[in-house]
Parts: sequence; structure tokens; C-alpha cells
Amino acid sequence: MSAAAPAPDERGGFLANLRNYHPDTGLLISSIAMLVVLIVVFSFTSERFFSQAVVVNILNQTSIYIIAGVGMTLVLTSGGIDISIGSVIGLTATIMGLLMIDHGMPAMVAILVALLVGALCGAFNGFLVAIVKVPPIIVTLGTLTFFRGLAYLLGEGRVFMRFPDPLPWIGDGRVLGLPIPVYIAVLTVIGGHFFLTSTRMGQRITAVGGNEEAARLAGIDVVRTKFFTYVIMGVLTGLTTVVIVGRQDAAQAVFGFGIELHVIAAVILGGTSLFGGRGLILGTVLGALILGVLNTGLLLSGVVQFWQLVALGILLIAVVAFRMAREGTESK
Amino acid sequence: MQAAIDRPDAKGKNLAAYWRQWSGDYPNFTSLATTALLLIALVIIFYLINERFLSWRNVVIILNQGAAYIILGVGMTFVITTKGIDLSIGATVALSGTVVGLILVTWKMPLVLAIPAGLAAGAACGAFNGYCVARFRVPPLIVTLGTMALFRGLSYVLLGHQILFGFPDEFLWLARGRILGIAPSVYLAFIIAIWGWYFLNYTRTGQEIIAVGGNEEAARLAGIDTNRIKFITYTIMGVLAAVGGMVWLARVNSVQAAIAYGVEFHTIALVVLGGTSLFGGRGLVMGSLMGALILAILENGLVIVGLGSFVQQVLIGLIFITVVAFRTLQFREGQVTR
Repeated sequence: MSAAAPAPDERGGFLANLRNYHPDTGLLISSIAMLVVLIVVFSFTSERFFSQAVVVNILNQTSIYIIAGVGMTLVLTSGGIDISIGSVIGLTATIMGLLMIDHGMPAMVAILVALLVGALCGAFNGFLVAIVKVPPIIVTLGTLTFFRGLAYLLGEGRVFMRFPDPLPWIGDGRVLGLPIPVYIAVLTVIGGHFFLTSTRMGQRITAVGGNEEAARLAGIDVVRTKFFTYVIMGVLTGLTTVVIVGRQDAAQAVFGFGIELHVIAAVILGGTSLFGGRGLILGTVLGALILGVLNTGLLLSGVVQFWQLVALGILLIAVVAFRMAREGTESK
Repeated sequence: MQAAIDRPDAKGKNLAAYWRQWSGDYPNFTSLATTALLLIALVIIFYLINERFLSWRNVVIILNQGAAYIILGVGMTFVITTKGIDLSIGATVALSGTVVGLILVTWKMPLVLAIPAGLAAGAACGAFNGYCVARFRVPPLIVTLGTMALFRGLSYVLLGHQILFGFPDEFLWLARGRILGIAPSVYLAFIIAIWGWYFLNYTRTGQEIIAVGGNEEAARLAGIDTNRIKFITYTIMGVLAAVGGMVWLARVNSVQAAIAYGVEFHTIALVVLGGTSLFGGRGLVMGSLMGALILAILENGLVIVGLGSFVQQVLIGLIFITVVAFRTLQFREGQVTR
């Protein structure tokens, strides 16, 4: 407001915040509506849909996509994309297996190493995107092959099984009737939401994704911001791996194959813009839940499993087409 | 003494000068030349490690492996030139292949029916992508991410987990027959590459594709129907995916719903290796042809050298990242000097 306001990202002001929030609220409401419609439909097609076991199961399955989805939301908000996360999961899982099964390391060490490996993979992507300035889709296309190859190379086609105790508990333990991964997901979401909306770094990510040149002129270190976004994505991918390995009580180089499709779909369904500058962590939660409800609902309604892919594809395109049409009319 | 020192220097200067002159005269020279150099370097390296690499038998195998990549690469070059991307081509290969497989193997119907049906399936997939991209303005990445799941899902719905094999001989001829010692699919691939090069550079539609990718708004203002161009581009991609799929099917003599999983990544990689700009407006079909050969040579050569498929994946990923990083730096340098 004052004449000397050099960094618009630091002082939003209540009005500016409200204006920023307004379009997002609409998106969140539409996501909630979609989720409710799906739940109502499936409650008619399947009697068991509302049983506690089914609800817990949906939450449990969805938690993986939510944890990775928080990272993906940040990446998309910065104007990037990361399709290498499936391979990072394969690599991290293999390394966890090697450490814990072959070398008998304690779970705490393996988990820390998993987060570190994820961070390193993310830093590699971030280096190429932010510093060498290769388009993110191309970078992560390359690392998709590269990390998966490393995973196979280290794992030698083996399946690591029977992990020592704390790890299966992380993947499948219950506290107050809810699985541990759900708590991890909730904490990640709260942290991610706070980070994106209320910290300086989070606002920088949004600014860089919205208009990179403007962000640079406003004094934001674009290179650093982008680099850190990918590192965070990597760390959260490492965390996702810990949950997956814990739940399966196994680790294998093929883990995470194709997961990027589901994670990106969840984030986009949740209202985060593919063009950058608009990230909705809470929307991502809704998007992941929509996918989870869709999968489980179709399965319980007796639909052949393969139709889930068809439904996912149609839903994704339809939602984005609808959204683009609405944004088109609004801007006119 | 001085002349002896001067000469190699002058020679080097000449070569560099030529390089610079050609780069100035032909904007695509640098990209095509570096791709060609990479191709030649790989051939020499593999030949030095193992002489069998350049045996006629192995060259035929490499070309046969590369045929499908070339055909897919031509289509992807068009798509990327419009500043688009198509992640669904692996799924398109699967869906059109499923149609062909069902007609030929399950229903034992003639080839005359199967090939048009397969091409129609591919065209329908491409047209659906094109329609969503052009009409609804959904970003290509999202559309094809969705149709990647959609087409693959439909293939699974049609086939389940069964594997169809035992195609009729007339169909297998495509990859297993020999004309002058080379498979018909290789001729087909090269014909498509030459057509693609001609189409993109010397026809009105091709030029309009380049214009749309270079600056869509300017193209629209210049009277180009950008929606029509995008629709056509994705439809061509779909048809070529079906053609590439048939070549693939004939080579492996089987089809299943999971076929060609991830081939989109290889195809995008080879197009980018070939020098086509991801920022749109510049498509090098001949570069993609060389990119496809590089990929086929790497896959074949690394096996011949005795490295497993795991090392292969790591190396292909690394080479790809390095080349693209190098290209990007080059591109930025070019922009700064201008």
C-alpha cells in the first residue's frame, strides 16, 4: 500500500488475500460437490459402501496419493511438472530394502536415508530445471528412465521382504481406529497448506509460477525457489515410499510404476492450475479422495476393474474442459 | 616452422568458419549436425567394441527395431511442433493393436478388414485428442494424460489379461518378410519419414502447423484456422500410432493390452534428441529419424556389448539428459547473441 512496497509477495493485505481466495473457493466447492455426488451414487449402487472397513480402506489407499500430491501441487504451482516420482519411489524402495534387509540397519536410519535419497533425486531434477533451464517435462522424462534404471541395477530384480518391526507398523498400524498413513497424510497436508499459503517461500513458489519474469523483477530468486520446490517434491516422494514399503512389507524396483498419472490427476482434479501460479493443497486432498472413492466404488459396484482407468481418463478431461470453459467466460 | 604451426590452426578455423556460416544460413544445421555426429559416434564406438555390430544381420535387426520408433517419431514431431504433446500414443498403439488382433486372431477375418479398422481406431483416438485440445482448449498434457488412461483402459476392457498371438503370415510379412534383404516395415518407415519431411516443410498445412506452434495468436490473426490445424495434427499422430503399432505387432507376433507401455516417453525422447524444439514452431523430421536410429542403436548396441537392460536404461536416461541440457544451453546462447 505504501509507495515503498518492493516485494508484493510479502504483504498481501486482507483485500488482496480475499481476492486471491475468491476463485479458489469456487474450485474447492466444485470439488466437494463432485465428491458428494460420487458418494451418493455409489451408496445406491453398493450397500457396503458406507461400512467402516470400506471408508477406512479408501482413506488408507488415498493417503499415498495425498502425500505425493502435496509435493506435486507445489511443483505444478511453480509452473513445473514431475513425472519421475514413480521411478524415485522404485529407487528409494530398493535402497531401503538393501539397507534394512541386506545390511540389517534400523528402520530409523533407513527412513532418514529414504528421505535423503528422495531429496537428492529432487535436487537432480531441480538442478536441471532451475539452473540448466531444461523444460521440466523433458528433465523428468529423462530421470524417469534414469532413476528406474538405477533402481533395477541396485535391486537386481530382487524382492525384499519381511521388514523389521517399526516399518510394517508405519504402513499398517492403527491408532484410534485409523491407519498411521492417514495421520501422516493429514500432517503433510496441514504442513503443505501452511507452507504454500503462509510462508515466504510458499508465496514465492506461487509468484514464480504465476509470472516468472515479474517474480524475478520483484527480487525473487527464481532459481532457488524452483530448485527447492523439486527438493521438497523429492522428500515427500521419499516419505511416500516409506509408507508404501511399510504397507506392502516389501520393496521392489518396480514400485511406484505409473503412480505419476494418478498423482497428477488428483492434483489437477483438485483445481491446481497446470499453468502455474495457483496451488490448492486442500483441493488435492479432495482430488485424491475423488479418485479413491471412484476406484473403490466401481469395484464394490461389481464393475470390472479395467473400467476404472476409463472412468479416470474421462473424468479428468471432462473436469478440466468444464473448468477451462468457465474460466474462458469469466475472463471475457 | 611458422607455416607448420599455422596450417592446422587455419584448417580448424576454416571448419569452424564453415560451421558458423552454415549455422547462419540454415537455422536447423547445428541441431541436425550434432544429431548426426552423435549417431556416427555411437556407430563407431559400438563397432570398435564389437565388430559384429556392423554385420549385415545386425544392421537389419537395428533397422527393424527402429521402424516403429521412426513412424511414431514422425507423428510426435508434428505434435511437438504445434507446441503440443501426446502421452497417449502407447495406449493408442494398444487400442488399435487390440482391434487388429481381435479381427485377425480371434475372429479370423481377412487382412483387408483388419488394417482399415486398425487405422480407423488410431484415427479415432487421435481425433478425440485433437477435438479436446482444439475445441475445449484443455492443455494437451492433460488431455493425453487422460486418454492415456482411457485408451489403455478400453484395451483392457476388450482384451482383459489375454495375449493374442498367431497372426496370419500375410500380416507378419510386414516385419518378417524381406525386400532386398530388408523388412518391408523399414521401407514403410523411411517412406513415412520422407513424406513427413515433405509435408511439414513444403505443404500449406505443414507450414501452418509450424506457424501455430511458433506463435498461435499471430497464426490466428494471419487467418489460419488454428483449431483445424491442431485437430489434423493429433489425428495424423493417431493414424501413425496405429501404423507403428501394426509394425510392432508384426515384429513381436502378439498383442496384449499392456503392449507398448511407456513408448510415448521413448518417442518424445527421440524427437527431442533430433532437435525439434519443445517450445514449438520448429520441427525436424529428419532429426527425429536420426533420433529413432540412435535409440535403436543404443538398445541394440548395449546388448551386443554385453550390458544388461538395466544399465541400458540408466545410460539412455543419462545420454538423453546430457544431450537435452547441452541443447538448452546452446539454445539460450543463441538467444542471447541475437
